[in-house]
Amino acid sequence: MSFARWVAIYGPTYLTGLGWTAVTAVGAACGALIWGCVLLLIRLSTGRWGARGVDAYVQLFRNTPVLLPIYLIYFAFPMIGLPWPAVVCGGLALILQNGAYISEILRGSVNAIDRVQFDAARSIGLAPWSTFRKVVLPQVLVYSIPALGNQTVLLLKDTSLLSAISITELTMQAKLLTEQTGAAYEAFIVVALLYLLLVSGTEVFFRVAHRAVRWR
Amino acid sequence: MIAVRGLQKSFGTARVLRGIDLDIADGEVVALIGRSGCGKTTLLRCINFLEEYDTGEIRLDGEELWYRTTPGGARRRVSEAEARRMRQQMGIVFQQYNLFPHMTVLDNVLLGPRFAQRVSVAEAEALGRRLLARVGLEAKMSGYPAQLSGGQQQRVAIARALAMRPKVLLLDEITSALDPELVGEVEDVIRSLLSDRIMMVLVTHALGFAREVAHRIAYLADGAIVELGSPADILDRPKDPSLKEFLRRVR
Ligand SMILES: Nc1ncnc2c1ncn2[C@@H]1O[C@H](COP(=O)(O)OP(=O)(O)OP(=O)(O)O)[C@@H](O)[C@H]1O
Ligand SMILES: [Mg+2]
Repeated sequence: MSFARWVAIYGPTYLTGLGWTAVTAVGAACGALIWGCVLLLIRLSTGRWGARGVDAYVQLFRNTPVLLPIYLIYFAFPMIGLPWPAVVCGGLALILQNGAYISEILRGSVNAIDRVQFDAARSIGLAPWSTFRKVVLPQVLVYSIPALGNQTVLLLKDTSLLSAISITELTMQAKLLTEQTGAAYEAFIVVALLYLLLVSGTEVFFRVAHRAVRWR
Repeated sequence: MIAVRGLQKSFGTARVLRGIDLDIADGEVVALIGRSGCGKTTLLRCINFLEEYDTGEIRLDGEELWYRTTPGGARRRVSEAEARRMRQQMGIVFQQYNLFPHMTVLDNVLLGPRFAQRVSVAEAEALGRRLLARVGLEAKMSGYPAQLSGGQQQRVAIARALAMRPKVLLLDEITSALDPELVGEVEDVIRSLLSDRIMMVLVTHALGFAREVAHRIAYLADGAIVELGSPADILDRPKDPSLKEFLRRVR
């Protein structure tokens, strides 16, 4: 079968996969960014014990494969009466893990803020929350854009693990096509090209965002 | 007016302030001079409680600042919220550039009024424009700090401090990081504030400028005020040997 014909016949199957990959990646990336900001806030505002708690959390997720929380949430939550749909379980697992990494990225960027700015913020009477929201977070997010881009690419590729809980994202579709047709090469080459496209798009997005910052 | 009594401050075992007594009358400008490391910055930072101090008392218009003594005799810092309220009566400008780089010039000036004093947007903007006009930077209002010269950044920092409508302005060598040709424009802004009769504590190495704008000059050495008097007394008729030595070196 020619390559063009292959794509014509199985295009819709790939599109479904592309859709799920994109939706889970974008959703999880947004969720993870928010969760990462929350973890940073907890670390900065709750003193020694809060910081230790966040440290422990980060270590836990850094030292375990993502597949673990994916399985755990998908298989164990129904037993405690939380039978969530597979996308929700998978998305949540990705958010929990990537949020841990993102909080570390953001924490590193806090050090890029000149100390005298914190004195300036205190001297005009800003409360800690206002300082975080108006002074710390906007700068930290901008300084973190390149690293957040890398993390998002990793997350994008990790969505392929969601095939393990039967979400019909790209990798799952390629596997299904292989099983149906036996044409493993065609099935996976197309998927590889699609991932390449998605990853390049993600990188361009973050590069443009980085350039768009006017104050640097 | 401000009254500082017996202010002492150590960093670990290093005694940096060894009992400072200083009064500043309403509308008075006091210049603080002394060699590097004598504690000038530390004194300013203690006055607005960016730094905690060990003993002593600071009053502003009679109100005791920063610490309370319990009936049992224990000394406790006031609450964070109290400290924020007190701090808003003072403005400080630092030696290093300290604007928020991600905010426009106007937003830098507005931040305090908007989010610490909860002034309405319209009112804060009007105030911000007025103050920026006053320091000659209305045209740069929507630019970012990185687009300004050092002198312009310090003028914005002064406007930002003034936006809190402080009773006293603490200025810590605000021209010493500047190229010489930019010093004048910042000094002009300080001169223009004299007519407002706002209290100022001015740390400076520019003795000519101190002579011109200060009502009194305090010479600080080893964490104590060694000599205090009119500019003429301090600069032309110094008594203390270490002050004489200091003046000889600076000139
Ligand atoms: N955070 C700190 N921790 C420890 N020591 C400090 C700290 N800040 C200042 N010191 C020490 O306290 C002394 C006074 O410092 P300070 O910055 O007040 O001097 P200064 O008069 O402002 O000097 P300069 O003219 O160089 O600005 C110095 O010996 C300095 O090393
Ligand atoms: Mg100093």
